[in-house]
Amino acid sequence: MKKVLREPLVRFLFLGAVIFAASSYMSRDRTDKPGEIVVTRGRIEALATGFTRTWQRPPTEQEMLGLVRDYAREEAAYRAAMAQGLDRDDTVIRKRLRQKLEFLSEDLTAKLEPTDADLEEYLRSHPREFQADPTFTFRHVYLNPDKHGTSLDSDARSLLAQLQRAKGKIDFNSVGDLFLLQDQFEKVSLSEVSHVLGTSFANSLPGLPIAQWSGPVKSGYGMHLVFVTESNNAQLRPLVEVRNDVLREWRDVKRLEALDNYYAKLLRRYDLKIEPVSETKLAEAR
Amino acid sequence: MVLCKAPAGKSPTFVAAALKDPIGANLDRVQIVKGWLDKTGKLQERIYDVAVSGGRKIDADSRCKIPVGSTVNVDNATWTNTIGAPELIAVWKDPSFDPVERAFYYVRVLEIPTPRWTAYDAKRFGIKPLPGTMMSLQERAYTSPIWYTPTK
Repeated sequence: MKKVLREPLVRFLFLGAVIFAASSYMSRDRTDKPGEIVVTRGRIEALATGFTRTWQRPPTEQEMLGLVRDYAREEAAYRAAMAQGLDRDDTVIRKRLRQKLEFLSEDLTAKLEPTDADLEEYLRSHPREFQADPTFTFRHVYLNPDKHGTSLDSDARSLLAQLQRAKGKIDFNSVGDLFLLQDQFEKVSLSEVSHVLGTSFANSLPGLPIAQWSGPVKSGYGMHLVFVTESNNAQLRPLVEVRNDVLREWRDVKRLEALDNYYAKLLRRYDLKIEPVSETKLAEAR
Repeated sequence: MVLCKAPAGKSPTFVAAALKDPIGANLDRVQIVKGWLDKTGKLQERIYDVAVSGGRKIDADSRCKIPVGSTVNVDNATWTNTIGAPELIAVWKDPSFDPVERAFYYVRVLEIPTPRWTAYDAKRFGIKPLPGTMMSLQERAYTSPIWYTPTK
């Protein structure tokens, strides 16, 4: 007898029987018979937890009773609806089921941890998405068209010549017209410039020479003479700076790839037949 | 903002400055609208033009009678920034200030005329608007008011 008890197969069977008995005991009241709705202890606790999370306090006895009654209604409604087949051909339910299935398949890719080499490669193959906006440091002299009228262009040109000849000996603040916004811009991105001075100005800025007065440049406000002291071209940022962004994009690409594979595999199980539709019917629908 | 109890013999003075949107229409004029409760408790209002574009004259009654003009082409729903000013600034002192009257002041800025949405729609869909439809307008911006409340 002792020898039999030591046999691994017997032990396995015995342990299996214990686990089966325990599990069927524990789930005893979870499998409802067709004619009864059982609100299990576990369900009641879950209802109470949900209530507490929403209201930041446990439910009163009255409220608990209400929750349980409502759950019973929900369960009864669910069963009656299923029995009548109300779930069939319902666009909302179809969409929701598809969504759940996609979530499950996406869950697998969400855990993917790329190596730095993976991300580095992604970054290099998609430089435009992660490069820093070009930045500029410049000052400008403004000419108000309302003050110069038809001589605006010639006034701008003569003032430009004057500034170029002076080689920095003129205080640029003392010439030109008053401008309500700032007259010096420090390391501003091109998109910021375009917000403040308009797109026409932002478009001409990258073409201007460095460290000399140039122009005249037209903006939404009038004419400007511009002295660019520094310009930084759009640069690929190192991985350490954009790691989170690259990771997000990389995961998204992997997610879509996985989804495509998933559907390809899923559709392989079926014989897809698409009925021909007459062109005129389609045109009518349009 | 609330002003209270003006010093004897002084009137409030305002600085009003307006800058157009860099992609928007030029400015026609800056106005200060004053409202006050008169001796009988009735609300009075008056508009003062304080800055106008193109060197036009503001008359003694504080209004500029010369319109800024219009560049609106209704058929094509276009306009140009060839009139008006990109920015307008003025200092204005209330000429008829009474320290015992409750009053408010706010600034109103008028753009030059631009096509109204009816003009854009008519152009896009190629339809003729009903007679009497307004086809252009002067967009405007308002500031929040500054109140004068005399302390008793």
